[in-house]
Amino acid sequence: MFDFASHNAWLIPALPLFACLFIALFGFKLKGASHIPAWLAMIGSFLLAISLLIGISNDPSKAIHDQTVFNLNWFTAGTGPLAFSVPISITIDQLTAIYLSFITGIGLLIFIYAAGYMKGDFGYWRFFAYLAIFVFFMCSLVMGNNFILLYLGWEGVGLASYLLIGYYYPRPSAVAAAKKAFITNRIGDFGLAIGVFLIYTYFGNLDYTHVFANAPAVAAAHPVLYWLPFCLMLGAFGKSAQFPLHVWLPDAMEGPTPVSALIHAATMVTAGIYLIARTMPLFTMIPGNYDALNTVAIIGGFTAFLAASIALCQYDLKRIWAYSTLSQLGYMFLGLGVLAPTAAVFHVFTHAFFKALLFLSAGSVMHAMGGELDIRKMSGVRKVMPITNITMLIGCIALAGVPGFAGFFSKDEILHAAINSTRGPGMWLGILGLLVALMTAYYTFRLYFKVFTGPLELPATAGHHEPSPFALADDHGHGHDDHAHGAESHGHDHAAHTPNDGSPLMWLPLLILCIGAIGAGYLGESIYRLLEPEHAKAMAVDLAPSSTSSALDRYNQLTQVADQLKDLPERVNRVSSAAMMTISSILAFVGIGIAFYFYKVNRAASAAAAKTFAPIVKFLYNKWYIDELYNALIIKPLWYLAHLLRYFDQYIIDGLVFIVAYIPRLVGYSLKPTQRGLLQRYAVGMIAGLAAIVIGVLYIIHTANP
Amino acid sequence: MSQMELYHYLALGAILFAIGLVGFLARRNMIMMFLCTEIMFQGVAINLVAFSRFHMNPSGQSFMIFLLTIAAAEASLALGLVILLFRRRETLNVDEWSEMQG
Repeated sequence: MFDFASHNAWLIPALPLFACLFIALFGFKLKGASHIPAWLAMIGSFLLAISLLIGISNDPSKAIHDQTVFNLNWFTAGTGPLAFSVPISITIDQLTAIYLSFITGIGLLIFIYAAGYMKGDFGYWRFFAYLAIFVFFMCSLVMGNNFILLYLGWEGVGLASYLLIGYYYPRPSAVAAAKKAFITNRIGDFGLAIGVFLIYTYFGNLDYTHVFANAPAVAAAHPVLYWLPFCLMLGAFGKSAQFPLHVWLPDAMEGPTPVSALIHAATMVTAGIYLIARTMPLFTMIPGNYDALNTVAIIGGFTAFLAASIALCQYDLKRIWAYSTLSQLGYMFLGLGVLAPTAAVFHVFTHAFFKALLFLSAGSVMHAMGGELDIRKMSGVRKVMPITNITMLIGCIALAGVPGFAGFFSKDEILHAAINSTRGPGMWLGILGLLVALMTAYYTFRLYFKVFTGPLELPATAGHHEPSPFALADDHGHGHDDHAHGAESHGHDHAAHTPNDGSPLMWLPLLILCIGAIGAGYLGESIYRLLEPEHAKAMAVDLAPSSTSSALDRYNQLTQVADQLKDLPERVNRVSSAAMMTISSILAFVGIGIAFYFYKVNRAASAAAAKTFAPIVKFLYNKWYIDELYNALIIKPLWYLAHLLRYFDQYIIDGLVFIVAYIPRLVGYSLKPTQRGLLQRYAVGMIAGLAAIVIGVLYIIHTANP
Repeated sequence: MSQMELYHYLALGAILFAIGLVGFLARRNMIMMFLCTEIMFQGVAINLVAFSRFHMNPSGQSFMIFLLTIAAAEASLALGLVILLFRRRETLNVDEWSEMQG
């Protein structure tokens, strides 16, 4: 199986691509069955990805490097020595294999969930086509062997995100959110593009192997490459929504919940972490210079704090998880910045499971409540949705970092690395990270206790179906079964049923994700064994050279020292692992306890506390007024500039064109008098012409014969 | 009086032509315009005869007789047209005959 997979690894992105094309071409015929090509493609990709992961973890020398698919070039520009060609070559090493596994695995579960969630929706096949193309681009991103394929995937997932956020296009808020996401992403992509240009200019080649191998030498020769990590980092911040480019992620919740789970929790936003983990040699290529890494860590830590503080005061079910995602992404960047890329990738892995679980559970709740998302309007939901209660609870426990569940292990690794970091702001960021862990536990369980426990209160729309934004075109809804999202213009009212857990298509994937949320933490050991040697090489840690030249022997040697790598030379043992675990567990339980008091035991106290701290609550509820700040500083000036340019275009440029067009009219106007039909004027013209000729001839004769 | 040179006759012819030209351009009455064209004819005729006498070649004078004949024929034709035009507009003013917008 592994051999088949390794020779046909191109199938992993190709299957979703074919599924997308198939759905796009035949979706209008398939209608409600459009999910089937998508499911089949994802199952195929997942099986291939898992076999690759297992094969590579058993025998790392089998990792695929520089495998050009069918010897194809994507495009070639120019001829001769300066010709630029982009081969479609893939590389599947340990990092890629891990990413592919959870992209396809969690993707498959979300595809199954989406078939239940979006059932009866007007644009059903459009949705699955977009999801499939998203998976294709994401796979291209992580599988590419050169920066151009990375950039292809990068832009492609941004496009897919735009299409999916704006899926409910009749809604102006969705359209605005989609534009915001894409434009903010673009600002980051600008940084990535500049980075790629720098790499091409100074390295001459865009293949990973070539660039990473020559990085220290080229960097020493060209000091301008000091800025290269910053450019790449800007791209990562745009895609992974770090401060100051974080503003798009909460608004992206306008998209359907499966989109939020897949793109904005598990996969697309982790592309930034992939980028930095993959290009880690470029961050460490200047010896002794940690500015880029420090920047990554500081921004990551700050974003974690910013997002967690905002999440404390939000009332929208999905927005709380969106800010939580921002916060956890901040953790991952913090991990990267303190030279613990394995911890960061481990956190990506576990976070994908429990965040997807949380989003999908929230989607189930939203679905049952008829589209209502305000947590102030619902309470005691566990009485009507028992399965979702369990899944949400497990997800919350995992996110809060309770020992034994997934989030605990990975978050702990990052904080341990941060606090023990020798240089830079690592230690302070580690302490900040602990504070954020406390806040995380609090806001997570605030949501859980408020929505799921306590007396049963349901919003007015509970049990009804959310009115479809595509209402005008919804006459196809007639005759469908009860689950069709019908417009309110339907003659009969779909009988309101009590809110329930939804179809098995929705809660089965949730249960599977629960297993992941609990168990993914225990895979940490394997992930470390898998990734740390490669990362150590990237971080230029000097390991004992191998006595034999066999790749397998070298790997074994590296594995033996893998455990020692947790105490890298950059780290001192300020806080031991055990102490770290104890502290973070205590913080998690304290956070849960505070939420328990305020939202289960004594709900009135939370209202009283909100009144006491009203200015702070207002500040946090309004997202630190960052959107307003951007509006005033950037958007309004651009708006005025746009109008200024419009007037310039209208009066000056169009004016020039008008003048050019006016000249023939002017000529015509001046020649008009000769054509009035006045006979004697014609005669004058003739005489004048004759006189001119005569004078001319005489002049010529005179000058010829003086 | 001094010897009569050729250029005296040519000058007379030119003056007659010029008078006819100016008159043609400056008059509004169609018949008067035609009269001026006749004067132009005569100026040319004097030039022809002068050259003929100067070069002792009868061709010029015989051509001048042709010219007179043609002038007479043309006069009848032109006056016929003038009468037709007069019937249209009841006026001999040539300015009446510009219909082009300009």
